[in-house]
Amino acid sequence: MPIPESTLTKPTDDHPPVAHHFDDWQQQSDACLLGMWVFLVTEVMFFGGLFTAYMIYRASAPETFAVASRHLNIWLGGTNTVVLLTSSFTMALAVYAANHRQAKNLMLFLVATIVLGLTFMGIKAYEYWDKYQQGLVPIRGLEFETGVLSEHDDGHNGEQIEVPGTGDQPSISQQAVEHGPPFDRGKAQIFYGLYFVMTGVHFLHMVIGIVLLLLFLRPAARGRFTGGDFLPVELMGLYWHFVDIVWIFLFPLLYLIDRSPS
Amino acid sequence: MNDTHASPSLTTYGIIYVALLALMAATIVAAYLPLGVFNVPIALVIAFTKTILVALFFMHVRYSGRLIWVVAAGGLVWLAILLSTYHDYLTRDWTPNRLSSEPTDRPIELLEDSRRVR
Repeated sequence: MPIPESTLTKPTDDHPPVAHHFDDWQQQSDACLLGMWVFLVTEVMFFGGLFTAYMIYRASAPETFAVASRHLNIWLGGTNTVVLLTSSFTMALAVYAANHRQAKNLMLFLVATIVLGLTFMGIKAYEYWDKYQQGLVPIRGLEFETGVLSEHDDGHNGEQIEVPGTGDQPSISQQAVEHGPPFDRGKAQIFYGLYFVMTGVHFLHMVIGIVLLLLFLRPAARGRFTGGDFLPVELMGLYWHFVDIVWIFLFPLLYLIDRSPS
Repeated sequence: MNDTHASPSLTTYGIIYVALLALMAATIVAAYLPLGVFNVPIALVIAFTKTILVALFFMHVRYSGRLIWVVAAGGLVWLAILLSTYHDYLTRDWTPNRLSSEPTDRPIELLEDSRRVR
């Protein structure tokens, strides 16, 4: 006896309604997970292009990249790494809560993830502003100060004339003089160009992730994900963890280029 | 729940989280040590270890079917191919180049030279 369509699409205790083009819930669930993973692979390729560009330019001017990198604030970057790792942890716990039908915990961990995400973005925004204040934004129309030096840096390679740094941080040219190897102003601009593009695109992914998480709050409060269908939360988790992984590579590559005193 | 939605225990999540924080501390410490050429490889090994931990446990690859394994591994393979375009720049001065008479260890300059000639 053929099973009528209505019984196939009817939600049960174990699973939500199955779309008509799927055989069963298992297949639908597998298809959704596969789709998300394929999307994430395209994202890997997207960021991979940026990382390739980074590798090539870093190899062309390793000393300059090291000098420019030391000007990034390791405390802010490190704090952000902890914040993002923790948000990944709370996101994993949110998926766990949804899986185990704990509505209150799900809300708690979703909100925690959002708060941590916003904290990350706040710190990042402060860092951008800080770099703007220092004149390290390589955009046409803005003076690229290479730290606090300006007038003595005419852009040629080799030794720089020492300029006293303002404040407690030594100027980049000063660091270059102390460090020895040639300093290339153009490559420093490229470093900051890569820094702003890579962290900027990552920031954009954070914005998208937080908007999606906010959209999850209302249905979560109504028990949408804790009645057997937690797949959307699981997919959201995959996206969020991916964004975390991107930062796992951005942090050491941008902030931690050879900080050893030598 | 069914097999594909098996998930790790809370203890596992906790252990992975602590491990990720420990690896982060390790990567910062390593950056301040005078390791020379080993600096980058160590940073990358730590980053890949963290990635694998996140993927296996937080992203549930360890508990997923073979299809997810293939897609995730496929992503890594294609990424490796993409990153390997770098070898073009590394090996340009291995052979005589009519665009630049003297060998250089500055791959980008070679690129710029060839642009200037054109």
